[in-house]
Amino acid sequence: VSGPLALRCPSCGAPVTFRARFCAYCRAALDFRSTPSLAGAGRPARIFDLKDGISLPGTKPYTNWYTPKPGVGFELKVDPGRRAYGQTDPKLRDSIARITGVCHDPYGTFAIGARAHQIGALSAGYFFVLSPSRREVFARRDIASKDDAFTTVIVRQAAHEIAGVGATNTLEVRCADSLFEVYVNGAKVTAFEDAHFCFGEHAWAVDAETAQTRVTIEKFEVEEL
Amino acid sequence: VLACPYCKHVIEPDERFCPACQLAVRFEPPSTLVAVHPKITPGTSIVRRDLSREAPPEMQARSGTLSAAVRCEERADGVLFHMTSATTRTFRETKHELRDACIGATFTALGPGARIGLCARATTIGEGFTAYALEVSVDARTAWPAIVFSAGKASGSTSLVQKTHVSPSIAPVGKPNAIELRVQGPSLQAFVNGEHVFSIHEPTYGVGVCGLRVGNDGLVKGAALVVCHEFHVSEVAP
Repeated sequence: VSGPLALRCPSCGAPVTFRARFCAYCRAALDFRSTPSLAGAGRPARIFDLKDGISLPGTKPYTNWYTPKPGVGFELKVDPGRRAYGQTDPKLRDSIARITGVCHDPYGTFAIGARAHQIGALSAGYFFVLSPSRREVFARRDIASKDDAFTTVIVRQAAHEIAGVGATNTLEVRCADSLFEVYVNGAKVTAFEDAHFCFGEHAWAVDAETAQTRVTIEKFEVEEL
Repeated sequence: VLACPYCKHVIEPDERFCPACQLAVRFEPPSTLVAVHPKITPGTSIVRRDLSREAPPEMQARSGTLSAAVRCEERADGVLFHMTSATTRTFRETKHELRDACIGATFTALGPGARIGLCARATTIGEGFTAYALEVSVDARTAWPAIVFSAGKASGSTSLVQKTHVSPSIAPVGKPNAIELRVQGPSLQAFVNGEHVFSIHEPTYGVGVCGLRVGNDGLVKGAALVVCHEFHVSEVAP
């Protein structure tokens, strides 16, 4: 059994959490002997094909350097140490999110946010960051207020599948309950378990590190797994 | 088209669970979906602290000054928390990170203004913190579920319900209250002195540590005094 089917009770079909000892609804005993794969197709929930000249969701005007370029993508310029960010519904537990983009210099990264949520004045969620210049991806848990931001890095993985600066990369994140799989350009580069955040929206982000960066995002998609 | 009562995702008439947030639903004609909550019962004990002999979680001793506003002192029947201004303090059982658990504690408020509570699935990220909480106001005899949070200088609590639950099972000042928070999957349930107070569906957080909470609601002048007698955590029974 692959994917979220393994996270259903075989007796009654109720959703279960990975490694649960029994189904909360019918009390049937559960036995997870291996980690299910999350491979398989999803059901499209949101598609932002930015070559069509549309904007990324939640684009904020603080830089005013967002340029939709029909046929190319959505170009962002971000100042050093700053982040461009946007969030989109629906809220999901089990999902696939995919972003395709090009970092035109060594200072930029782009990222997918998953299970992003707001609590009072705070925002929290997972972030999966792709750095073409370092040829690495990393996953982290974030919590931030207006003035402070804190991060726990969950996994950091160098991958030769990552194309370098100036080339197109597609980052894909699959999650079902506490299971996460990260793909770059179609190849699985890392997988991990983390159950801290279980539900929320998806996000995209472009970060500039030590200098201003220029990044073009071509497509951002969210699917229900 | 039927919408999930929790997240508003579309639910087909033959579906028993929301495909987005996993809420179990029951269809009631002609067009209502009602949330169904599983039964959560305590199982094998994981932690049991008798505060007449042992220190509260995260503390080395049963007495001491914790901050300018909070101090505690040992008593024959537990630990007395003395809170001089509007504040709430969480004591986390940091050794056990759990998904599903039944968390309980017994408190006696010795005066007005006392808040008692429990937390579950508390997560720390740097100086940031989030958790589910059961909050109980002894004076108002109300209980409500909340998300408590902090990140650097920002902190607070967001109620997960529009209206707090008034419960006659909450004993007044001077009488002990045994409160319990049970979490399994996305279900949170609260009990006070053995009586069920609320069940809610809340899928945002999945794992973390448990703890007890004491506070001063800041609504009356003077210190809030609360004795905590015991704290316990158990697995959920199959």
